[in-house]
Amino acid sequence: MNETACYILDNGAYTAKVGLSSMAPKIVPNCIMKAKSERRRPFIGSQIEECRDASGLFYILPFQKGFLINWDTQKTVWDYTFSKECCPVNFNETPLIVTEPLFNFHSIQEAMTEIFFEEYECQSLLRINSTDLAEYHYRKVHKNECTVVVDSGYSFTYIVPYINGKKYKNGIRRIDVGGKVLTNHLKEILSYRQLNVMEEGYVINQVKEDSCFVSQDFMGDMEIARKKGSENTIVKDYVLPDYTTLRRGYLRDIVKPDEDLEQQTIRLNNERFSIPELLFHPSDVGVPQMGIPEAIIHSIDLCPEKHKESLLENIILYGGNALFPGFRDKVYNEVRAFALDHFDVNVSIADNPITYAWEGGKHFFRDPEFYSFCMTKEEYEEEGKALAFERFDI
Amino acid sequence: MVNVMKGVLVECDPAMKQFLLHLDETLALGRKFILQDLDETHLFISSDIVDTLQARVDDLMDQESGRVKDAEKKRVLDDVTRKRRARKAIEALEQDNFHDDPHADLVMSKKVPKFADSNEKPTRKKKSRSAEYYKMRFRKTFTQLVEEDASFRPDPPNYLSAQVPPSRFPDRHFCAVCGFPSNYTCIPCGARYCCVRCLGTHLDTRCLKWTA
Repeated sequence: MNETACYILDNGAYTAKVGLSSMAPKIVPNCIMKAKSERRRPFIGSQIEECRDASGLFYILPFQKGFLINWDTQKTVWDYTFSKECCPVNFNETPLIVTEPLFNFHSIQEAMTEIFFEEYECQSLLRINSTDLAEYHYRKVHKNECTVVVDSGYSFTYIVPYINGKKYKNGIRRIDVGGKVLTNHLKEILSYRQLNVMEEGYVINQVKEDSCFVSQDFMGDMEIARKKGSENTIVKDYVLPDYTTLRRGYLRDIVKPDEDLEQQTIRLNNERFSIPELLFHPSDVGVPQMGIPEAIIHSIDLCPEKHKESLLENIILYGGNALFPGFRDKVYNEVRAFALDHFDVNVSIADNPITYAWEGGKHFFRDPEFYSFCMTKEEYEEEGKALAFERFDI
Repeated sequence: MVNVMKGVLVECDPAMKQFLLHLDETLALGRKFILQDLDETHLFISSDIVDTLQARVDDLMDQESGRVKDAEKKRVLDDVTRKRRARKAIEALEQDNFHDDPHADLVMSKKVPKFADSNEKPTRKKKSRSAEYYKMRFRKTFTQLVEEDASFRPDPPNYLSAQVPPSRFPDRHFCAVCGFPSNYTCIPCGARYCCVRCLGTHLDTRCLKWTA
């Protein structure tokens, strides 16, 4: 068993990051979408790029609250993903690394094992948490002892402390705020304040990605956003895509009405920074939970005293929400403020927050011990699913 | 000379007193009937007009009563309803779609040709199972799974124990209309607002409009 490449599937709730370890990963939307404009055809995964008019997209997602629930949808997307159309693979020759959420439920784990061995006929399989891969990636580069991995994804944000490469389960904490909550909240407030965009999840997600940023001085920025005219450096217009001349919207300065080019725009003011702020203050929308920096400190406090120093020095942020400009700085500043003065605090952000765990899988495959973590088809046939529970520490 | 008049003492709130004064002044009952304006809440009126006056006041109250209207406006949502509203708002943030499946009314024709690369498939020994099979095989809802997890992993750490506790810091408040920091609370529904203008918008659009 010395294959030159393995297939890595970082199976996220919104996008799956897939590909052979010898190539660059592909980012495939992990869903089936239906468009109003094309009546006959559902779009699976990346096929959405072929859709001419993405307004009013209807999502069918395999994940609910971060867990794989709709298996028929997932199967359809996987069939597409593993086919020639997307990212072909022969599991007879290629080991597979597939990620799962932390504390994945028992029957979902069982189903995962079964579907990959029996349906896709994998020869060897490694089921693992994406935070494990991220931690491995980080440790490979920094050669450190302890790490705090912050994975801020679509369904939730996980804070996972690792001590000497092993996750410290009692310290794991989850905030039930992720990209989906942010998009839905933006959709809601824009629909109330300006223009009904309740059906435009896809477009509003792009608005969020293109316009939002993390404020370093929240109340200060609120004051700026109150100002009129050129003193207000925050207010912008977002030109919505019309799918004839414009496929993706963009942010621009506000222009006078006489220059109107018959584009539909949305004015964004305090929305630009109050949306990502939910990651730091979930209570702003009534979710009674801590924000990320407070939760990091809370999680570290649950770990053994002697590791705290090392944990604070190695905080790594990844996941889609880490793409908001200013995200790292705000986490750093707040953690710094919470932590005791004599500790050093170091917060780093992944170069590519989306594929960070996937890249971690690439490093992990090169680990000399890699195959000892995997489970082979023979083992599965011999010992069944029980072995999978022993071997994979989900 | 002593002038003796038979009268009735009326006690009412200042608004009603104003209304009676108005009736008196406009001769709405055919003549003047107030004998003496005593103070804020008391009037002395002629006794023979009482029945007519009572009928008139009843009529007017039925027609359009500002006070009855006000009382309705002052309906205050109780705690349970407020919590239910808050929970619904959080649930809405979890929704995948706001609208219905646009293809729901489509009847898929089985005659539509499928362009799968079927001419290369026969090399596979096993026929792959349909997506529908897996739907049936692993059908469990999120709630079922959480319950199941409680018996499979009863002791922490597990899914439920991993949830972060509430923040140590007090909640911040933002205007439900414009999103800027707010200082005031809407009395009927508990939403926050920042200025009279936003309150007006809130009352016109949302305040008690969603009450279930």
